[in-house]
Amino acid sequence: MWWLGSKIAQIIRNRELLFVMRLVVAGVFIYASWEKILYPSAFAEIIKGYRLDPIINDSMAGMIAIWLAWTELVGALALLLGIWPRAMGLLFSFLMVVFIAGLAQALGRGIDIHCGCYTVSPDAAARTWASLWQEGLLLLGCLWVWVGHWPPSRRQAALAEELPPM
Amino acid sequence: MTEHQTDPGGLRGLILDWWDRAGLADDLVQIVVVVVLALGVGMAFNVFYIWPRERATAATSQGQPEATTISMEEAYRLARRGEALLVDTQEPEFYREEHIEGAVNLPGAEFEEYYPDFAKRISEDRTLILYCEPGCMSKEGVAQELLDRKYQDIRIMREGVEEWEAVGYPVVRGRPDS
Repeated sequence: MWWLGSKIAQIIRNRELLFVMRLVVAGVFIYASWEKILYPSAFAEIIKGYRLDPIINDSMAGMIAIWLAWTELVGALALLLGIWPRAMGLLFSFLMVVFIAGLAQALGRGIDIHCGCYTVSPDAAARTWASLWQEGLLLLGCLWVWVGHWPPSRRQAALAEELPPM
Repeated sequence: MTEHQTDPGGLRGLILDWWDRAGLADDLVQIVVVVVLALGVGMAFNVFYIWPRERATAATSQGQPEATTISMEEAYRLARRGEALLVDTQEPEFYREEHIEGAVNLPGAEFEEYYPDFAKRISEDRTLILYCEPGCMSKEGVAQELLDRKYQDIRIMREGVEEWEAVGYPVVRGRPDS
């Protein structure tokens, strides 16, 4: 099995693929943040729609809308410019897990929800279980960016330099 | 990055080795920097651009017909007397699953498709009470579309079916009223 893990690690660490993945994830988050930044009140209404009281009450929703939208933009710009890519991969992976959990709890409770992921338009289609694959795919991309920027293990470093492993 | 003296076989050693290799300590600091920076820039942008713009928009829209809000109790009273029609703006599958008794479906996401039939049956002078779920945005979108199409009396109810049913008002499950 070790060769399969090694092959996957090679693909994840491939510099060109990792670069493309970084640009894709950064592009998606810049696009996703745009409307939220321009229409924070509409995004706050969508956050209220997740019905996360008392964790997120109505008065907190406005602040979270501003913070989340700008975190997406600033993080994505950092990723695009290659600043702290590993940390940004971790940040976006964490955000995606939170998004997916929030969507899943709302869908599980039968709430007609607009996720506010890419648009704050009232006419956007409501989310369903079947549409969660989009968030799942993006989560994989974020994890790729995060793990792909880990420094090599001592064994991998040793192999790369043709030195005996420690 | 720091190197830990670890027992290669121990769980603690494995975790510490992983923590070091993943660079989590450095990453957390960098994440905090980005998060704080985002909050600062975001607040400044809203204070100097978004909020003044919203105030200006609110001032210019005064005098034009707009949707008003209505309490659940008032909505129930008007609907019961036949003085208003409840309009569920959720997607059809949610409407079919459960909706307020007597409500018709005009989904925000499929407005153009549903509107012609709605317009044939509902006159423009009718009082309409729009609802979906608390926080759901489709009622605001539908309200604006209806105002643009000369419907005059549009009211928005913040509560949804769940709250309606919780106080004992009638709901319908599994069949359309319209």
